[in-house]
Amino acid sequence: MQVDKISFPRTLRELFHTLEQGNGRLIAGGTDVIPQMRTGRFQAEELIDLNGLEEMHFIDKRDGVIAIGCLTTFNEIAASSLLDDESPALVQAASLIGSKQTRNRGTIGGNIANASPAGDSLPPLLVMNAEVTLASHEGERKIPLSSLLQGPGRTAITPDEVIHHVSFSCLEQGTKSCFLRLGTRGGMAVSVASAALVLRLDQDDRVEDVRIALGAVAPTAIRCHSTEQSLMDQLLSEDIIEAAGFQAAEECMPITDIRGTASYRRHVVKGLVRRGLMTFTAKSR
Amino acid sequence: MDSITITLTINGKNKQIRTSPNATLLDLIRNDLGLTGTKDGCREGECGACTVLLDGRVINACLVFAWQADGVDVVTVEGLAENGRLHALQRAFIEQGAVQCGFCTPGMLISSYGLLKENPRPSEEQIRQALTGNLCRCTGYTKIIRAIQVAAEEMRDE
Repeated sequence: MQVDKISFPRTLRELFHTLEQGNGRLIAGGTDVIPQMRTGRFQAEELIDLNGLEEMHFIDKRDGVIAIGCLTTFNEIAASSLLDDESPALVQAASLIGSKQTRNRGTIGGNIANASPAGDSLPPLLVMNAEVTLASHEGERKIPLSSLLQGPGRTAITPDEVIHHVSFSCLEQGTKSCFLRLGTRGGMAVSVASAALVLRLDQDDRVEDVRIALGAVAPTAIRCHSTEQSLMDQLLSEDIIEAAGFQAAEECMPITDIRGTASYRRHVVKGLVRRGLMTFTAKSR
Repeated sequence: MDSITITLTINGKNKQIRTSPNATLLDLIRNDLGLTGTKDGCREGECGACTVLLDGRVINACLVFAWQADGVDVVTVEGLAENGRLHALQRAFIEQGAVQCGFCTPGMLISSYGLLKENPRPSEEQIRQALTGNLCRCTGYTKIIRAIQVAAEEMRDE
């Protein structure tokens, strides 16, 4: 590692000024940046530490919209009773990411910016139709997370921008969500495949709203729009649930890597989506 | 950039240290402060041998640059004993046979210390969850978990 210059902006203005000056690499929790610097995945002679920007460290609810500042750590998300009420899938995912040690440093902004195809916070955010607010010296712009994620490790964030916060609307009454994943360990494991689901049934028990997002089985975390369409207005019988699992497995584009083959991953997706839908039919939350 | 200077509190003592901008908090603790209780295992936050408390929270010292630790409060395994008396956790680890090669032990002690501060009555499952980020290749974890349970009980009685 060869760190030559370090900046500690205290305000966004200072941050944008620093970004304009050179090729500084942003660092917050450092749980991905430091290992990547060690393996040489990128060189960073200039580092910009975001931890002084308290204005990006918050969990807020206002007018039916939840906003989470980019510097919020995963332990803070996992411990948030507000988020547990409004987005249980995100809280479940947050509590499974890495270990206690990495969760005390790892931030949601970093997880989004890192854009790993297997990033565990991404499917829960996608099923919430999350939007990311990017800030630069030109102001702010909002972009759906689904558009922000462009490929493995690639996002639509421009070099002069920083993720300010991620936001999503609260779920309607009676809507449930959950997160499931498979890894070689219960914790501290990159997901082989993961799934986040949101579901609401109408008074006749027919599907009124369903959203399914998958992780680690495509170049980015993805929504299964076809499967969602097929489930609309359906009664969740065993056959329908089984079919949804198959369809989601068809919708994803897994690769074969050290964590599993593509066909194994499709098989896992079938199971995760099945189990996810079954949790909704089995209990009230 | 040749060096950086940071000030931090380490095991209750205020220190000012000059070190390399490439140094991690782990490098600072082991090399600049000479506190070799905290171990260098993997340097990528996977093994937990470098676990310390930073402002009261368990973290991997290998994933924090030294210059990110300016103004913080760090507790290492050397900071657990008080007035020459080993902490209940340290005594329990020894008495229960939870130490074999000892390499994971400082990290285990800090992780369990952090756990018991948050949750003085952890279930076995909660102990296991808390130790997710601490790997041991010798013991099979059984006696480590037992030691934490014994220490927790003693600490509750005190």
